[in-house]
Amino acid sequence: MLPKNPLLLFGLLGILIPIIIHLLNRRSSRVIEWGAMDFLFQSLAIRNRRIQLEEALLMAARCLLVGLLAMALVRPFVQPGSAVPWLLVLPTVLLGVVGLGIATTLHNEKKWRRIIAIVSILLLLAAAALIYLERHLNLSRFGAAGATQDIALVIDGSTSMTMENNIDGLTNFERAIEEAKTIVKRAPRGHAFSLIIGGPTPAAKFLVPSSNRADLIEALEAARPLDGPMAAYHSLTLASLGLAQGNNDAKQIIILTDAQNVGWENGETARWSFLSDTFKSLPSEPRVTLRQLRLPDQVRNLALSEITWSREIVGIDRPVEIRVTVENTGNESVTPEAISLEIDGQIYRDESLGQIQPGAIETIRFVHRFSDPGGHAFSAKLEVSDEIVQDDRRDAAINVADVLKVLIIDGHSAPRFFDRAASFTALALAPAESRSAANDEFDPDSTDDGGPSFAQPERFLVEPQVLPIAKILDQGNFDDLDAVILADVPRLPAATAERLLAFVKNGGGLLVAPGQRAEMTFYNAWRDEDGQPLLPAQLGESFVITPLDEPASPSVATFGHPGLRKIADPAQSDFASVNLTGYWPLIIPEKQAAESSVGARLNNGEPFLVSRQFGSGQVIMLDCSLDTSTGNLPTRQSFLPFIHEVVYQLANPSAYDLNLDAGWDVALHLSDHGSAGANQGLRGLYFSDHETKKPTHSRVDPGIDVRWETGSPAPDVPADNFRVEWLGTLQAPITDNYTFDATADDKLEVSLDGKVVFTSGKRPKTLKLEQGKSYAFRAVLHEGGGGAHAQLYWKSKKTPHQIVPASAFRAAPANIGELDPATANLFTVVGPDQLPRQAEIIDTGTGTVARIDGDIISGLYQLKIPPARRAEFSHFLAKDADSIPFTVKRDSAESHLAALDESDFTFLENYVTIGRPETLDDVLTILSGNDFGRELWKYLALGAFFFLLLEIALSRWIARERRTGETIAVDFEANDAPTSAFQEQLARFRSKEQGARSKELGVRS
Amino acid sequence: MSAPAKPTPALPANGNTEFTTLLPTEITSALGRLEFLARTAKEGSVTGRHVSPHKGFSVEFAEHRPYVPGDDLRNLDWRVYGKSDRYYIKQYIEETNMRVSLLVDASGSMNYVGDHATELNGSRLSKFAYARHLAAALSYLFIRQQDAVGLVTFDTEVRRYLRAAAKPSQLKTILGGLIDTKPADDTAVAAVFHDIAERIHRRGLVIILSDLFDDAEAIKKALHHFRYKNHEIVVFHLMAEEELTFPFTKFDEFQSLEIANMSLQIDPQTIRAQYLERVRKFVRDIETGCGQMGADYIPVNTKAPVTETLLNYFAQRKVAQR
Repeated sequence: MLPKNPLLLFGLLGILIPIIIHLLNRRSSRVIEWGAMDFLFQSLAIRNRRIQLEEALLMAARCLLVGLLAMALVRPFVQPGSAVPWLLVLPTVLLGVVGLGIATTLHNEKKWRRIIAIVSILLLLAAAALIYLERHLNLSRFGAAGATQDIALVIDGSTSMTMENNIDGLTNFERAIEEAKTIVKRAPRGHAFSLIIGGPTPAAKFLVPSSNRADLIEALEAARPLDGPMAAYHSLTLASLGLAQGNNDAKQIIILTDAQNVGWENGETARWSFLSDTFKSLPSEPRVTLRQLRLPDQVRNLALSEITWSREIVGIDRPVEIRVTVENTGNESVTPEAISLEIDGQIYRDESLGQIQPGAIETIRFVHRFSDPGGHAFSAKLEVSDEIVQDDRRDAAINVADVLKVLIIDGHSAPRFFDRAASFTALALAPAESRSAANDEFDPDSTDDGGPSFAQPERFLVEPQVLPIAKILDQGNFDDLDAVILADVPRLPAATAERLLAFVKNGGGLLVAPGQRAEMTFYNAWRDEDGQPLLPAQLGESFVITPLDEPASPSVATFGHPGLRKIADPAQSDFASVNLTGYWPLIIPEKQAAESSVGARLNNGEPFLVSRQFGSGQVIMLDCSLDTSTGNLPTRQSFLPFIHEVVYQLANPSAYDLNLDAGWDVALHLSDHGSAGANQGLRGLYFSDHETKKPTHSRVDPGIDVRWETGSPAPDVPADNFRVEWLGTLQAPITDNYTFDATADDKLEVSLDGKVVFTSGKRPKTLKLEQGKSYAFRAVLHEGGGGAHAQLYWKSKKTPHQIVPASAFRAAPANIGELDPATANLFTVVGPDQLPRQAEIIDTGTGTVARIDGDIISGLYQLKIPPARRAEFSHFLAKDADSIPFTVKRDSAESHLAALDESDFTFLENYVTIGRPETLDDVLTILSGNDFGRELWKYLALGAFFFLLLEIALSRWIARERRTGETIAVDFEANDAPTSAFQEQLARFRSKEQGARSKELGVRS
Repeated sequence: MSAPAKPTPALPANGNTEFTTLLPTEITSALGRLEFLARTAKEGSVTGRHVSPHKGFSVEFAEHRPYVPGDDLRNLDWRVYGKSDRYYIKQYIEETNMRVSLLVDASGSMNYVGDHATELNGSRLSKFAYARHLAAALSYLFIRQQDAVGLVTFDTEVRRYLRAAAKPSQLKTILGGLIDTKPADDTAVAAVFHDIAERIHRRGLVIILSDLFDDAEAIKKALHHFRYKNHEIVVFHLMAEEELTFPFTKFDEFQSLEIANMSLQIDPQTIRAQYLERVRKFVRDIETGCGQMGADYIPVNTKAPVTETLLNYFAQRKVAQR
């Protein structure tokens, strides 16, 4: 409890008025010499206690009346987070007041009178101390109140804020904007504001606090709600970033919100601790003022809460089932008219939905077959009249895969086709026309009845290619491929193994199916340069031959890998009839236990399928081969979907995800492993002489490590007198001082960011490279005659002398010569609001992402690809499309209108100081450095009024008890009245006497 | 019976001013020819010495009774004998001089004056002064009637005891005694009454002038004691107007008139009702007590003039005597 007018606390002295009046009244005005003392004493004896009680009561009522009145004038208020409960302070004050009053009336009990008076004064002093303490705590809590502040205005731009309110037709967002304008206008001079619109991704309109009112008002008027929930945690973080750049020491964050409980990350202790630390690192810990606008209690709403589809990788070969989930998030049941799905201009409509009860969820399925690969956007619309319109539409985007290129390395090139290790797999992946029927039979997505019938696909999603192990050296790198399958390969040459490892690291998929020919030593020693094993498991001591009568078979019940999900149903799968005549025991070393997981087991408990993520790619390892040499696996019907699903898994479906979660910022991952791999290395431009500007040949080289000697470096390029330029960027894996040197024939010149760092024949230079930073790399090799070769090395304290690896390079685009480097990576994005935004294409080292600037709202975006860069992103582009569609997902929780409850606030207040003013005036009070809180004066005034009435009633009652004013006649006349005769006589006598007197007087005169 | 000369008012001739203030002409003239007659027969010391201005009073026939030997033949009713041949003695109401004892309360509480008290000789009368005037007037009356008058003043005990005497100088003695008495000290009416009752041996008239501030029951018992001794009792109960109405409103200090340094600071309003109830009960108790024992009870409010009180009483007494 804090006083608004602390000086008026002296008004409490007003209780002296009744006390002094009482004492003055008691001052004996005169001394009456009295005879009938006994009667007085006797009367007093029976009344004494009662009189004291009456006086004490009356005095208590009067003191309380004055005390309450004085306290009402002080205008005490309870600020949130009050340390000293007002229910302690106020009674202490009033008790002290009452005690003083009562003590005054105790005239006959001197001892008690003194004790009560002392206790009362102590109580009053204690109350004063408590108020002072509260004030002190409050000040220290909120720092320099009254000083000019940096204020971050966070306006909730979530969907729920845009609901029209029945009261005045304004939405909460409009109201928040109005209040924010008032705050900006009426805040004391010197306060600086930053302005943040809270949405799925908070948007800073003014990040650095500004005190330019006009600009702020203009920005407020231009502010639009961001569709989706408010990421409150992120908004606060952004606000603290802004406040850190302000000049004022005092910081404050004002959130104008409906306090919907979405986006607050409640329970995320680590995150909030981090934010709390961020706050504490500011010059003064900002105080969060949460101005809560009322969230509607009743809402009639249906929301499209989810769109999913049946397969992770969607090709054009088969139709896909799209499921749209409708949820009633309101409080009343609603019947939608219809639900429609629009894909590529085609509209599917479903009117089967009936009444949906509150809280109920319905799922509608649509079947569509995409006609061409690339990014496709589609949107579901709910035809219903409800209160939140934004969630009646939901967008999604699918990147329809074109072709998955799979290389099957055959470790056993037998003369008979079916003896070869890769034959069954190749057949399964590229079935003959006649076999595609069987394919459909095992596709749970296919609809038996009424489903649209499609023409036979012109081609298949998967394009397998078999490479006998003997020809392995012909294979350069694996970058064009999506997945590689090692079918009973005994071993690979070291260089191939290394390239394959790099392929996986960059996002490629690898399936290892070792048979009897597999060499344990090779597989178990397959590691990257850091000694990290590529394979998820080690091959056991020896190949196990199972007894004929007890063949091992995979246990369907243990299938946990996502690729096995579709064949895990025993009713549809004949996997149980697989009999393995032999298998490799797979041992997961303890060190790897965290990364590797067993996706399926044999019926004897041995692992059947083990997988792990390696770099960006995935490795799946089986314990048997894919041919008939280890059992009847390839002859089962389930083999076909099995191998397909495994390949889909290997093809890294997450790379195709075009539906993003809103977060701190939004970035679309654009590199699938193919293009990422292609991107690694350097763009090599081959010129046929030393001068020409136009390259004869262009390709991506893994780095500068070439030995052409007397051969030609590239087609149409002579063996002598040519020139090679390598272009791209260089990224150092760690920050260090690097020294470059090279062996080159004839002359190599290397420059970074335009500075020459190495020239053949000169001393190499040392320079500092920072981790994560990209340096423009250019190397020119001039070859005169004779052998041609070039190797570029680097070394640093932490890096051994080595050839600069391909992973350090990013190749320049093919048309590097034609692009303006300043704007080359700035693309345009059109958002759901049809407003253009900018997207920057960034190479993060693990892939390419498009980072989207501007307001992020939920819905469909189109990333415009300039024609010149089309080739790079062709993977995402549909036929004839000039943009990549992607969506920012709407958090379906936003449709549930529930405000933060007290337990939420309790959690939040562990980390930040939250004030919750109830009115705009309170907010303004805070801004002028004053405190705010629940005012108590009304109750106190009411109390005073009550005691006024009580005082009146009490006085009346006491008067009645004392019978003041009542005539109590004591009959003190003679019983027998004198006779009338006597009266006459008396009268006569009197008149005579008077006459005599007057006569006497007359004589005298 | 020969009527002796009516005694001149036994006022001290030498113009003692104190006496005249005590017995001013207002009173003496008002008393005029009033007479106080005892209701019960008194053992007079001198039979038949009474000279009445109203003849026949003293020879009033009372009854007949049969003659017994030894009776005075003068009293034989010859007419009855002539008619019925029987001897009857005519009995007359005996005329006697009374022994009057004036019991004047001189306790402190009698000192109370009050704003409403009647004035005499230019100053308001305290209850004691009032009682003194009454006592003087009565003494004057009785002496004039040749009755024997005695005076007892008392507070907690008998302060002064003047034996009853009928000699004219007795008036002077009584007046002197009254003048000399200064009221003080506590009241213990009942106890004193018992004491006095034991002292007055011959039956007569006991006139009590007091505020009777004592326990009502005790007083009644004490009065009974007088009654038991065959005294006729007249109680002049003196109360001041304030004591009867308690008109105080402001916080006051009530200083005891009886006990020094005894005072009570009190808001009179708080106990007024209780006080008045108590007084009312007290007065009623005394009055009914007196009525039961055939004593004359004369409530005297000091606001009434002394003469009026006297005249009223005598008028009343006349009525009561019929």
